[in-house]
Amino acid sequence: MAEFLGRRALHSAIAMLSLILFVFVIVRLSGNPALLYLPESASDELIREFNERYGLNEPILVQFGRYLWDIAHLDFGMSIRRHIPAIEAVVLAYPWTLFLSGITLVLSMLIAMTFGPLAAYRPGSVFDRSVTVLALFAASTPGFWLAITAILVFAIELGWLPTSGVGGPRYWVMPVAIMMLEITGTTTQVVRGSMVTSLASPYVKAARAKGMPERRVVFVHALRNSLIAAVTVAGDQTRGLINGAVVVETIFGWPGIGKLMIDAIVQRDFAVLQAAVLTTAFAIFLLNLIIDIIYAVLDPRIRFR
Amino acid sequence: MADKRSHLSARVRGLRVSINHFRVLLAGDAFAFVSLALLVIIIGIAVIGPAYMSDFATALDLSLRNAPPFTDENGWLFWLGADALGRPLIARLIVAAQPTLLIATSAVIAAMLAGGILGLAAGYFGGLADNVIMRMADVLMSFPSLLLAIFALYVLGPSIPAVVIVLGITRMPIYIRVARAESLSIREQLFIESARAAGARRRRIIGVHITPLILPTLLTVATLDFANVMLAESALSFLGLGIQPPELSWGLMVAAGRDYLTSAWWVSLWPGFAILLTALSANLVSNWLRIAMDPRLRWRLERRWGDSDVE
Repeated sequence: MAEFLGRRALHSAIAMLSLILFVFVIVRLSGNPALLYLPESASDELIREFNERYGLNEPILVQFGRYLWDIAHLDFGMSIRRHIPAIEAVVLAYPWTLFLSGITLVLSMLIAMTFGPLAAYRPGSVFDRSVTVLALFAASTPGFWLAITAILVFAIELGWLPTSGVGGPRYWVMPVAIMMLEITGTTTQVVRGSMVTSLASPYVKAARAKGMPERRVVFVHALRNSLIAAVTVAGDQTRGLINGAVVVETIFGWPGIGKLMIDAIVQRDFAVLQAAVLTTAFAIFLLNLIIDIIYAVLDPRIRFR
Repeated sequence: MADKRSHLSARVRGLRVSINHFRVLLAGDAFAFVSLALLVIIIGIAVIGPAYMSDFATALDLSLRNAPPFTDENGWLFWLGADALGRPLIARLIVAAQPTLLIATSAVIAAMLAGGILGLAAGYFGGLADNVIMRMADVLMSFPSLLLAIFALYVLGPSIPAVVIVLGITRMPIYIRVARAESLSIREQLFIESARAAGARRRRIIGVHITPLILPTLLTVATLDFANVMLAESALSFLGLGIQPPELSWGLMVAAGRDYLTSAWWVSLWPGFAILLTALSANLVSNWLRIAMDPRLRWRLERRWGDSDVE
């Protein structure tokens, strides 16, 4: 177990390091990094001073070392618009995204674990095919377009829900619904696929043979074995959630990490953008590490692969 | 020589048989048939449409600002309404189809080629190359693609080639994994061993024996990926980081209509609809293709064909 942990942690560290390297290289590729941090109207004098202060005239390896050092100390520079350290802006935004993604994830898992088994119960039935087509629909719909269409219908025309912002429960309905679009279809399809296999297994036949109620056979015995598949996609879906959060938060004015990034781009606040991207990467690598450890505890076979 | 020709004609015959087979399978699935037809029509419009429509698409007529849809009084070009500068939406949708489809296609092909080559190398050579390539794929895979694209496009500046490259890079890992897994299993087959024993060079083994076997799988994945890439490009353009005006794309058109949502809903509704329709058709076709290409799943389509005979 210790060896497995060490190897996994090493992989994550390498992944994080290569991402930092990627960001570092791409920033240098853009020409002059100082121009990214400074306002567009920056004078040559200001640029020279900035280069001097942040060591942008030094050899590239020294720069990279300094860059790593700063990141290790969570020093991403100052936000030129907010006049606070970039990391502070990021930390303030995180809870909003976490709550939004958390609720989305739980709700879409519930849907997947209800509709997946029901569709798998009779493969090829009308219900099964409807679920498949619905999932394809969800996977084919541009979220940003559905979001503004939903605003038009439910907020502007019907007046049932607020157009944007944060507040009481009514503010959560549309953002969560649009975020769910991004991931519910795939999760349902994966649970369905795994349930088809589970339901054909001998232990399900045995459970039926001993007279167990059908509902219990499907939702307790078979579903439990499909859970690993469901959890696996849930891990993968965190990426989809972040992708969705960028779009949904921008449209609904949700003060999370996605809106922070787009705002940073619009305001040319590079320090904040970089802090947001790198901390998100770190959070995702950490999450993947935790998920892998949970697997290894649940399923000993994984440890020895 | 004669031997070679008969070999070739056997292959042609085989191809014809399988095309016929696919046609039968396709006829049995109404969804797949309709969506394939739609896809062909959309691609046809994207290819020949802009040549006829680009003048109309850019002709301003401020008297027709945000003209409403479904009336004939302004001519059929305005049947879907006009945008904020009085340009007919039908013409703009048709002109935007080309860049939207072209960018998605180029990104998918770029990802498939680069990912396929890397994956093949990883699977065939193994060892260090395998390790490095797969770690790289893992990093790309575990990171939200939109974030990577936003960051890279912000730093490098948005342009069509940049969008294609960035989207291509974010989609690469799937092809790397598929190509690696396939070449790993093919490498161990007896016919590769006999080719090697017969003195075939590495280049010949990879080019003649392995690549043709991997290609169909990669193409299936590519059709599956097409809709995803198109949606990603649309989202990027919507956020202002993809295609830039005066270029056109459906995602950009949705963004342009957002400001007039309360007064002219049609400006952003139609382009979104176009994206949905194209993505859905592509997804349905690729879903069907995946089943039709897989001998273990093909019975589902065949049985359905048989069922409808009985009904």
